[in-house]
Order: sequence, then C-alpha cells, then structure tokens
Amino acid sequence: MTTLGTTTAATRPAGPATAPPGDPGLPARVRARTRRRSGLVLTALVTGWLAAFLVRVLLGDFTITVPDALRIVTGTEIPGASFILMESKLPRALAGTCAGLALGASGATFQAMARNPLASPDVLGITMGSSAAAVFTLVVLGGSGPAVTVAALAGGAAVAAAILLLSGAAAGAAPYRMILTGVALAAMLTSVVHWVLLTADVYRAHEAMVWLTGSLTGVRWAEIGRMALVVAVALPLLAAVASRLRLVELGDDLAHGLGVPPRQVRAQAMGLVVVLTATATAVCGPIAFVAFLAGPIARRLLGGHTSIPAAAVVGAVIVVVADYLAAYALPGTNLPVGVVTGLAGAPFLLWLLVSTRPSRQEAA
Amino acid sequence: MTTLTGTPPRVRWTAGLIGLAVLAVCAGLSVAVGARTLPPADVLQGLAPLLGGDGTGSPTESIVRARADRTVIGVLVGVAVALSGAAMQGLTRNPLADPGLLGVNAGAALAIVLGIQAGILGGASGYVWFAMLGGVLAAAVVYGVASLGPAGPQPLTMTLTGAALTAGVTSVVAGVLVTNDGALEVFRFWQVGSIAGRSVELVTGVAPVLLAGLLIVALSGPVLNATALGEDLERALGQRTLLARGVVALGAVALAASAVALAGPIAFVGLVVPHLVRLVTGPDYRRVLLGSALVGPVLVLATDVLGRVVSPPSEVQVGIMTAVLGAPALILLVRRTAMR
Amino acid sequence: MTAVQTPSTRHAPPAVSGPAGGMGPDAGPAAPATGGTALVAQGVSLGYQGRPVVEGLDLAVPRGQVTAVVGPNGCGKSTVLRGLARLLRPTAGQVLLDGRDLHRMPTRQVAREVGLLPQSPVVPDGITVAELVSRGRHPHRGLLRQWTRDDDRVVAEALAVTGTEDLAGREVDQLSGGQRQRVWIAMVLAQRTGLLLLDEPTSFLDIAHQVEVLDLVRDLSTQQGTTVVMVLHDLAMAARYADHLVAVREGRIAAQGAPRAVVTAETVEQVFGVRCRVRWEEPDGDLTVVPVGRHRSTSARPGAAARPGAAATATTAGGAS
Repeated sequence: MTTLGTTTAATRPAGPATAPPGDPGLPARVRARTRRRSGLVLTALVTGWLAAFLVRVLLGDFTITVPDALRIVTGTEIPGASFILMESKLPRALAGTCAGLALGASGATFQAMARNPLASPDVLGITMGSSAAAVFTLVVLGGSGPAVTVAALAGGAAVAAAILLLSGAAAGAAPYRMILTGVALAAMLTSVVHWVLLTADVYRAHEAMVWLTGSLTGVRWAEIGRMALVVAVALPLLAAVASRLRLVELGDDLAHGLGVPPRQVRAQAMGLVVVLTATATAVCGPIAFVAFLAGPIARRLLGGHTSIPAAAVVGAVIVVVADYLAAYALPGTNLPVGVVTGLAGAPFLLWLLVSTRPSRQEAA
Repeated sequence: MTTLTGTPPRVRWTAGLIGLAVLAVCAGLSVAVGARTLPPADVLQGLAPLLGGDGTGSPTESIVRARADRTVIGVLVGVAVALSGAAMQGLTRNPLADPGLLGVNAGAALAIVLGIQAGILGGASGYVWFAMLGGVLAAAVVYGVASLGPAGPQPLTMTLTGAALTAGVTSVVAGVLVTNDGALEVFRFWQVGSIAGRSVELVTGVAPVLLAGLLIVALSGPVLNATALGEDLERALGQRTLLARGVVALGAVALAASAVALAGPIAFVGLVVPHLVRLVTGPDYRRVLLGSALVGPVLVLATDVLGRVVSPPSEVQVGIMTAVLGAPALILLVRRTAMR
Repeated sequence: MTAVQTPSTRHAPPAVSGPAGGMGPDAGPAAPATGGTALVAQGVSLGYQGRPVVEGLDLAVPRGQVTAVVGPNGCGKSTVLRGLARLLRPTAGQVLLDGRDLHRMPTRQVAREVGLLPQSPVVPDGITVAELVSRGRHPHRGLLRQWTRDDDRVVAEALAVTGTEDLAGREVDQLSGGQRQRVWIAMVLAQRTGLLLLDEPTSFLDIAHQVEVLDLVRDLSTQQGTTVVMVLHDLAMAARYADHLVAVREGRIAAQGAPRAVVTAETVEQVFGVRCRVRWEEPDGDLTVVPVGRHRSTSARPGAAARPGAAATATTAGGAS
C-alpha cells in the first residue's frame, strides 16, 4: 500500500513516508452519481410543477386555451376569461407556488435542524404562532393585509425564539427537547386561537376560520408580490446556510471541530425558516402538512439526500395540485386548499413512518 | 430509601389528607367565586336545598346551584382526565402520554364535528358516543402508526404522530366548519373546553362510559406496574398481560372520551397530574392512580376558578387556562427528564 | 519505543524521525525533530455549568507522536480532550497551539489546524462515504473558493489512507462499526490538520475493529507525522499504541510519560483503584496487566494447564477500568 516518491497535493509538504495518493477521480465519480440523480429529480420536479401550474391555470370548470392565456397575460381583454384568469386562476397558482416553495424549503430545513423527519414548523408551533398572531390581528384588532403579515412574522418569530431559548437549543441541547418544546407551544397556541374565535362574532370567526384552514381564495396581487419577493431573497440565503447546516447535522461537537459554530447556524436557519413560514402563512393561512411532507418526499425521491431546493419544488407541486383538487374535486364547493392537504397528509404520514429506516440519530 | 418503596407511609397519608383538604377548599371556592363572589354564609344557604333542605328561591340559590353543577362536572372531568393520562403513560411507557397530545381530543373533535355536520347529533349527550368513537380511532391510529416505526412506539415518535394527527384533523375540522356556519357556532364553544354551563343531566348521558372507564382504570394498577417493567422482563416473570392491557387502554380512552364529551378538550391535565403525583407516591401505579384521582380535580377546579377571576367580568374557559398553564409544565418536564 | 506489531504486512519505519509535523500548514519546516510540543495546556481548569471537572491541568502534547489519555470512567479524560479541542472554554489557564492561545484564534483557523473526532458523531441519513469524507474539507472552503481538483485529491487520499476507497459509494449507515469509524477518521483526515484529537475512537468496537482503528492511528503518526491525542479507556491498548501516556484521575493528571514509565503496578492501582500485576514482555514490549481481584477462573489456577494466551488477558485487563 505504501508507495514511495509520490507527490500529492501542493498543500502538503512531502514527508519521508507518504500516504497512498488514492484515486483523485473516485470522490468525483461518486459525487457525479448522486449529482446526476439530483439533477434528474430536480428537472422532473420542476417539470411536474410546470404541468400542475398549467393545469391549474388553464383547466377546471372554465377552460382557457394557451393562446388565449398568452393574449390575456400580455394585456388583451377577453370577456369572461380575462377576469377568471387574472383574478382567480393565475393568482391562486402563483400564490400556491410561492407558498409551496416557502413552506417546503422551511420544512426541510427545520427537519434537518431537529434531526427528525417528523419535526416541521407546522407540527412544532411556528406556523401556529403565526396563526395565533394573525387571527388575533384579524379578529380582535380588525387588521388586514400588511398588518396581518407583520403580526404573523412576529408570532412565528416569537415561537421560534421561545423554542430555541426554552429548549436550551441555543446552548446545543438535544433535538428532542426542541421538538417537545415546540409541541407544547403548539398546543398552547391552538387553545389561544380557539379562545379568540370564541370571543369573536360569528362573521369574524368565520373569516378567521377560512384563513385558519389555509386558503388561496381571494389572494391579492400585492400579497403575491410580497411573498414572491421574500421567497426570492430568502431561498438563496437558506441554500447558503444549508451548506453549513449539513455540517451541524454531524453533531454539534464535530461541527465545532470543522469550524462551524452550530448555534449560530441554527439561529440563522431558524430565522429564515420563520421568515418564509410566516410570510406564506400570513397570505394563505396555515396550509397543513406541506412543510411537514415536502422534505421527506424530496428525500425519498433523491434516495436519501436532503435537498432544500428539491423540497421547495415538492412543496410548490403539492400546494398547486391540492388547490386544483380543492377547487374542482367536489363540484359546487370550493374547499380551502388546507382541507385537501390535511386529508392527503394523513396517509403520507403513515407511509413515511412505515418506511423510515432506523437511524442512530436519536442518540444525539 | 425512597427509590424502591416510594415515600414512607406516614408522608403518603399526610399528603393524601392534605390533598383531600385542598380539594374541599377548591370545591368551596368553585362555588363561591365568580362574577359575583358569595360569602360563605350565602354559599351554605344556597347549598341547603341541594342537600335536601328548604329552598328560598333567592337568586343566590340559582347561582350556587349552577356553580355546584359546574363543580361536580369539574371534579368528574378532573378525575377522568388525570386517570386517563396516568393509565396512558403507564401503558405506553411514555412519560409524555396525554389524551390531548396523543390525538384523542382531536379525534373526538373530528367525530363531533362530522356528527354535527351530518345532523345526527342529538344535543350534547349524543356527543359522548361520537367523542368515544373518534377518540378510540385516533388513539389506535397514533399508537399503531408510532409502532410501525422501526424502533417501535418511542415517546418522541408517538408525541409527534399525535401532534401531526392533530394538525391534520384540525384543518379538516376547520374545512367542515367553513362550509357550515351553524356547526361553527356550536362547535367553537365546544372546542375551547369548559365546564361552565353544562347541566348535570349531561352526566347521566355520559355516566355508563365514565363509570366503566373509572372502574377499569382504578383497578389497573397491577397491570400498569407489570407493563412498566418492559416486555422482556414481563415475559421473564411469566406475566402475559396483553389482553389486560387492551382492556385498560379501552378504559383510558373511555375516560378521556367522557371528559371530552362533558367539557370539551382539556389539555395537559392528564399529562401533568401523574408526574406531580409521582413526586409523592413513587412509581407504584396503584398509588399514582389514587393520587391522580385526587390531584386531577384539584387542578381542574383551581384553574377554572382562576379563569373566572383572571379577566373580569368575562371568564377564560378552563380548557384555555390548562393549555396556557400546562405548556410551561410540559417544557419544564422535558427539560428535567433525559428521555428520547 | 513501544514496538508496534501490526498484523498486516505494512512496514512502518523503525523510528519516527522528524517528519516535520507532517501535513498541517502549521508544521513549519523549521521543526525538524520529533521534539517540541504541538499543544500545551497551562493550568487549565474545565467544568460544566460551574461544576469543576478538571483542575489545574498541565499537559504537553509531543509533536508527531501518539498521546493517549487514560483513566477510569468519569475521571474527566473526555473533558480534557474537549478542553484541548476548544469545545469547552477553560475557567482558568490557557491552551496553546504552537504558542498561540487556542481560544483566541478564529474558529475556521483552528479547524484548519486541529481535527476533532467526537465520541458519537451523527450519521445523516443516506449519506455516502465519499460525501461524508468530503465534508471534512469545509474549513478550507470559502464563500468564493469552490470545490476544486485539489479537494478531490485530498479526499481520495484520505479514503486511501484509511482503506475505505472501496466503500466510497456506499452509504455510511450500512457499514460495520469498524468501517464506519475508519470513515469518520477519513473525514477528519480530509481536514488536513497536523493534529488529531480522537475521543474514544474504539468505543463500541470489538477487538478486531479496535486493532484496525488503532493500527490506522499508528500509521498516520509514523507515516505522516500526524500528532494524535486520543482518549482511550483500555489501558493495555493505550500502552501498546501510544508513545506518550497521560493518566487522569479525578480531574487531575496522575502520571504522564512513556508507557513503560507510566504503567506500573503502583500507578495502575492509584489511577484505576485495582491491584494488579504489570509485566512488560520482552522482546516485543507487549504489556500484560492482570488485575488481582478476589477470584480467578478455575481453569487458570496453577493446577490447570498454563495457557499461552497471556496477551488476551492483557487486552481485557484495561477493559476492567
């Protein structure tokens, strides 16, 4: 095994005895294999999203042809079609895409951080924090639009901070503490929401209820713009943090050893998760299970790799498809999208739990 | 010496007596305190007709009557929830088991909402069967799903499954309520969890289930003690308690469902009470159950009374109060136990 | 020196003479001899949440050699390593890396000079060996500096050195304990540091895998001049593989030096609280430590046939700690 006289990397002065040089092409080949699969899966996902998007926009109980759609988008007025496309179909599809991207990415990030595929912002109360604050603003303060967004952000951030502080995660505690603290806060906030609903008059309560279910009905273009902006800024940042989060995944001590301060990375990731989740929640309400499912589904597709971009696109596909089903599955009723994702989520959860391989991560 | 046998008998007796005294005080307060707080004399006077004396028909009397009903329901709910929590913790060997956390409340809520929606729920007394059905189903799903995991039903997996189920069910419930304002109007009062305004007649509807559950769980101490040893040791000791455990599980869910039917979801009481009790009794489940039956109602009545005075003139429902106070308790518990 | 009897056909140079600190950028060519110290602890006290565990630690880690920290359970040996690895901030004293205060250096710089393998690192689901080892390159990457051929070369070399090339495409969680530990070591090697800190690298491994991992550590030291500090709970293994032993007892150093100087019946009794017989076998310098308990097996009594496998006793002896 020992070979003599090899000159290896320039970074290293040659010692009297040198290590075997290894095959420099080997890691590259292994990487290429996973990268090929990632590329393939990502392409397929984006194609899937595009298909879902087009179906959502063009089909349904009012079919719009592609040329018509193009004409409308470029400014031509077609009676009937214009209104439906620009006021319902297109905004819903776009909002669904943005919300799905945000929820999918933040869910996958959170799961990686908690080292548990069952932990996601919606299960752990961050979404509920946004909801509680938003419902309070809607019902008690009578606010709307930007005020709700700000409240949702503040609520989500408060819960995230509480999880980090109360579980001692800031000091590098075991993930299970983080998870259970989140579950506790979620339960508490749920009952706060119930109480707010109870004190409201029926009309307000109904309005809040629709919002609480997670719905894309009546999203405004301004809201979509806000959401798109946040997603466009936060997703690349999240991808950057994710590369360091991958090292934190190896355990806090090892991350330290590799020069990555785990606390700092967790705080940054948490911050971005909150911004994304809260923005989506403020506009569309808490759409159940999207954040929860997107990460594991993407991981399955990728053969076990965590990929935040893939999870984001999976999220977008889920929301757009679910919204299509919500709108047209039951003729005559326009269900909120959250009902569909909530119903579809249960069997998926089952599948996930059954097929999850045993892992040693619990030892952390 | 406390580790093996729990605390010495003298301490246990003293603790039991103190518990009884505190329960009596809480019951007294529950009748006396409220939007109009009554002095002890009025309370006694108001209670007289309930105890078989002559009524005077004064307004005080009707207040006392309503509050006495409320107190009785509070005691029943407290006993049921706390016993159910203790039994669930023992059965699943999961210190975080609680009817709320494990999805029983959510299942019951879904069943009730669907019942309201379908128009087949004849008033609150019909709730119990739906709550029971939904609760049993949800408990089975959570336990089953969590057991399917490769590592078996771990506390963390179970809790997360319960939370996930709750999240999903909540959105379905919301979906139903969105399309049905009438149901929303009824349901939003139910879902906060309150012992106020429930008539004692409700109890008669729930009574069979509640009593059966009480009986089963009250006698389940030995089964739970055996379960606590773990399956391998249990087998080594020659005890096969599978059937017995199934019956106890049913009893625990029956209690949880009756409590939900009576008062709506009361969070965290079932979780916290057994842990408090264990501090005094040690791990023997016969004593834990007994203590839970005492501390459960104390906690429910105390938080209910607190809810009445916290923001006068309106009241905060007991379900809200327990959730708001219980979450910190859970977090504290998680911080103290090294469990995964 | 303690001769190392490697089971394979590897030929280690008979003496480690000044490989100039080997591979780390800190290894100046100006330090030709093995002499000198890589890491020094001066009066270091360590503890958790105000509870002191280690007090007044004075320790010098010789450059290019293998140092083993031994001691009974709970004596603070892992804490010592955590202090040296910057995971714990000393409440008093300082840790010097080539004369610089370790706790004042930028995190990334430390990561380029000190490699750390903690006791229970987490294997992410579905990660391949090559990918895991590649993560060791992180300290050398920057915002602008992307993955290069050089990184590939280093990773390939780390795989080759640890004999894990064949596993490169496999998933880490499907490997055996020994393989997995070698992969982790490969990851730390990919970090390209002149100093490695290993916390119980052989725990949970059976005897064959322990030997496999420790042989690798030895190879690193002799062939590449890497300075290694490892915590071991097995005294016999430590004496066999280390150049320098540090025995810790109740948060203090009880003895340090060459294994032969440290492992004596007196120190073993003092550190581990077990009376025992210590024998150094000539000519290969193997150590036998036989604890003298209250019992012994019937087959080992004088009447029974004397068994030649004394070395087997030696390895179990340390395990009694």
